[in-house]
Amino acid sequence: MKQLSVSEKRVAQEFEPKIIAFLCNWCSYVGADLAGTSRIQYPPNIRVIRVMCSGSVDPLYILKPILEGADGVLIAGCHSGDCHYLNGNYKARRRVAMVKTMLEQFGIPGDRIWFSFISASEGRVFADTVRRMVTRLKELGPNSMKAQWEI
Amino acid sequence: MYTIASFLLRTQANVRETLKEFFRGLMKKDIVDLLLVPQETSSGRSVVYTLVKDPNKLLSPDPVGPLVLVSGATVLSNLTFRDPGAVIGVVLRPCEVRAAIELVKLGQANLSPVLLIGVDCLGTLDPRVYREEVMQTGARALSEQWLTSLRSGLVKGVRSACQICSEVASDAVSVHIGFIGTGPNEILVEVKNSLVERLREATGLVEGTASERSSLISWHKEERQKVREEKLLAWQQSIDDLPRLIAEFATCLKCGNCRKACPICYCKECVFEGRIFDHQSSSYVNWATRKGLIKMPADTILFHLTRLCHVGYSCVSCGMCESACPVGLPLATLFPAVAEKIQAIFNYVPGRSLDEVLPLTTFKEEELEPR
Ligand code: SF4
Ligand code: SF4
Ligand code: SF4
Repeated sequence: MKQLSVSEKRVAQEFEPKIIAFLCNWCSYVGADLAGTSRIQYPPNIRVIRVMCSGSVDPLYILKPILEGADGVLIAGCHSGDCHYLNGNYKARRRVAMVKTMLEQFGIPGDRIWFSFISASEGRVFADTVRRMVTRLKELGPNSMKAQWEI
Repeated sequence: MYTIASFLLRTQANVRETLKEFFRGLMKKDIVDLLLVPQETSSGRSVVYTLVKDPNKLLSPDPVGPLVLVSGATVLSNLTFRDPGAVIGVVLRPCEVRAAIELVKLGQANLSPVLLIGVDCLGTLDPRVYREEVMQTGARALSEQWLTSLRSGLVKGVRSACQICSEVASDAVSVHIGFIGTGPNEILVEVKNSLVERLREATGLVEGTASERSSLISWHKEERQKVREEKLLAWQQSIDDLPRLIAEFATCLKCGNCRKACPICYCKECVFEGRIFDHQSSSYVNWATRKGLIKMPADTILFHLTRLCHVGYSCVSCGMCESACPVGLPLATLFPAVAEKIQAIFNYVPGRSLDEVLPLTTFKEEELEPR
């Protein structure tokens, strides 16, 4: 990774990325809830939107926050075999790969978009995912779309 | 795969008369009940799709004229989305066949009541260019000139989508009408073996081939594949960040013509024209407050990026989007350039075969990114 100058480092330290998270109703949202009720600490950078299935997240809903200037988008669904709608989670993973590939063509790092399998019992995995994501987004710095008005 | 038999039709008076007899034969011998075929309009200024039931009303078939106003795949979808209760012969160019195959997989068209009839294509003109030319010469003369060029394999001034299209003739059809590499008094007809007997009886085909044809076609394929790779790569390298993309779309009116013309954008109600984008006034105010200002109408880039994701895996590089764009934005490069990358993730070639499963309707247990 490129060396940051002193002033860039200061910005990077002060910068708190904003993450929009789409969590599926049956697994990942419950996992996030569990993290809360079990008092597992995780960074407060995340804004959660509950969806019925990770497979229902259209690219539109990933792209809108990125163009609005959100620093990252997390999509999380159930593990293998647990999807309430059979395989929406796997299809979501493919869709996310597609959105990332497109965004990379336009200079938006793929690492702004994360996809995870998080079950209802994985409060700790949820907290850890958010933590790792925040660390990575701090390395990437703020999303320049924040200042872009011609979208 | 099935085997193909090759025939020649000797043209009597002219090609149009011969094709007319050929198509009428298909209808009269009940090989098809109806025919969807481009015909010259009575004004003599255009070539449009017609759905023909009465063979005697088939007067000016013109599958050669260098104009496609609406993708034949879109028309096919309209005709077969619900069971038409009849067998329809559908005359399509290669890019339209590709789009038709995608529409079948997307559940928007049905090929079981259809006899696909392919035609050679080395490209069509932008509708604006076609209009200028047709005002000088008339549709008939323009088509005749075009046919001569097609036979020799040399066409000029085709749309940018056509310049990078290497599929000169489609393999996915039951009957194919070829002109490339044929002599002035012949038309090549390739027929799926199972159809040969009925077709021969109906249309007076005689066995034969065009000797120059296959070398001319492979030459075109290679040349155009090369141009395609160069052009898409150059685009991918030059429009490599969002500000550059935004600059590219600076004159977009957000009219939505591109998506209306795109055969793959099949939605009866596009999300961009539904309730979701019928924003509250307060939303605009919020967005303007957050950034200090926003462009109005809003969401232009969001529209294009979303559309890229919605059609990316199935985009067949037909360029209907660009032909429909009132400001001539280079959509026929942009969409294929990005679509190519999306299709590469899944190793998917749109429009090639009904047997290849759409990438977003399937998955592998282990792939991409577990985090
Ligand atoms: S047709 Fe052209 S001007 Fe209209 S929305 Fe599409 S790109 Fe923009
Ligand atoms: S996006 Fe354009 S090139 Fe691709 S299928 Fe649609 S109309 Fe054809
Ligand atoms: S842009 Fe998307 S929602 Fe709109 S018609 Fe195309 S595929 Fe459908």
